[in-house]
Amino acid sequence: MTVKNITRWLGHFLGVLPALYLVALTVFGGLGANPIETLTHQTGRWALTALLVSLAITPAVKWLRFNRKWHVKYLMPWRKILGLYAFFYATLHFLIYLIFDLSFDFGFLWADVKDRPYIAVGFIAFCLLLPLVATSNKKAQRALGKRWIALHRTVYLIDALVLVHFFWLIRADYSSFWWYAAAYACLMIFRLKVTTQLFRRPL
Amino acid sequence: MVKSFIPTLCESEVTSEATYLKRRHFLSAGVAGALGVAAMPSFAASTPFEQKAAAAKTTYKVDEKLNSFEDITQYNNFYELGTAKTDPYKNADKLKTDPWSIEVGGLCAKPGKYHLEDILQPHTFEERIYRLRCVEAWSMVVPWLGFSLASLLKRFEPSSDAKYVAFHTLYDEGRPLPGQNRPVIRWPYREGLRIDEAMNPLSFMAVGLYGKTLPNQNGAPIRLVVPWKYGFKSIKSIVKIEFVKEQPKTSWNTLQSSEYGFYSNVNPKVNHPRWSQARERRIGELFKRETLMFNGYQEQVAHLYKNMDLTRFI
Repeated sequence: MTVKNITRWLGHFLGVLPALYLVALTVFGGLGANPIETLTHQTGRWALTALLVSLAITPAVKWLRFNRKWHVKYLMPWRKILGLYAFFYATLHFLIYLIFDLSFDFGFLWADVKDRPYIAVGFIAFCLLLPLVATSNKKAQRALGKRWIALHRTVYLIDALVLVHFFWLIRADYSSFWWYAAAYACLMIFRLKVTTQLFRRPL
Repeated sequence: MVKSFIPTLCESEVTSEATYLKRRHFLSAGVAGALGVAAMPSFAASTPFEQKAAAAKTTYKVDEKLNSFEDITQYNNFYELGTAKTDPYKNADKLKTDPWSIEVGGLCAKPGKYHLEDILQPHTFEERIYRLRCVEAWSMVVPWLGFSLASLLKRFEPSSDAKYVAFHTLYDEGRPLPGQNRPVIRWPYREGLRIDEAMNPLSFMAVGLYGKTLPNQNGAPIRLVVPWKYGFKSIKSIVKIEFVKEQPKTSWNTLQSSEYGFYSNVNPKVNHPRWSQARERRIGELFKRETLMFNGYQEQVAHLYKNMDLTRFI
């Protein structure tokens, strides 16, 4: 097994860990009185977490001064792996809502999207993930060239929409929201040209 | 040791399988105790609360499956004890309910500070099995123990100017409850009813559930239950009752009036910006079911809102 394979598997391992945890909770009856609500909230949180961790790879690579060859080969694949896991959890999140909350009724879905802004924003974020997933392979990357980078930068917007979705659904207690928002803010600040120039280090 | 078994003595008529089994447990414990334990006499003489709980008759019930004691006591919205659904259960011991008094004031002939014992003393207890519908689109069926709100309020002889009743939950600034350390909502929690709503026979003061003393996380020692309104109207751990002329300020309404109206009657037809109120999830079920107008209590309460546009007075 090559080092590249090991880091890949490690990425997948991290990605499935929350799912294993949720399966264990389901099997051992740890989901509480309202299991559907718990699963909806958990899958939503893990989707957001995976998006943020995926977003943290590039700045981490820059700051930790990895050898360039090493990081391109071993760490950059994590962006894709975790991005795909974010989509995996977002899909579970959406399906649980569609099946159990809406009884698979697309009329209810339309009513929710139309009447409830936080659901509209979450739904748009989910839809915007689809083209990224579809173009997450080497072939698409090559075919799209420079446009691929532009396309995949929409993930910045997607994360922001997910945060808005989160913010708008909170009734009163914003305490855990601010941690996610702060993480996103830091990760975006690291991407500003000013910041990177200020802390420029040789790679 | 003995104390923990006592509540099963005061079962009312409705007995779930679990409490039935616990009762058997109690009986065997009692036999063991009778074989020469000095503490026995103290349990033989039950308190007035226990006697009244034991004598309680079921005066109102819906023919639906009761939610389990565990579900009712481990899935709560009681922000004073924390904002997560399981927080109130975890922090329940932080709420001290003894001694407890209620300050009664405003437009009535008999204002004053009443000890809980004096509040409870003249009332016989009844059991009422009500649906509880939360604005978050989940619901339960709960066997409450208590007495009608009207029978309590009448004792204070409200004047004809008293158009509303306001309630406050416990808030001791010197010793806040765990959830009150942060201004998630403005403390103390406040709720209110129009006087005719308060005097409606369905409005209930609960002091227990499943025939036992009300657990702290459910709003001990005394709470309101207004089954045709969203759950947040049913204020917990009441320390103040005030008769007022103007519509009182209420907590969720103050925080976000577009979402939480003063009336907050369960209404599947009023479009809520956050949760569709057309359907609800009964705790214990996976899929949602249709929500009933006034939570199914239309017959008893619809007349209260005869000439009101319920899409405007949410």
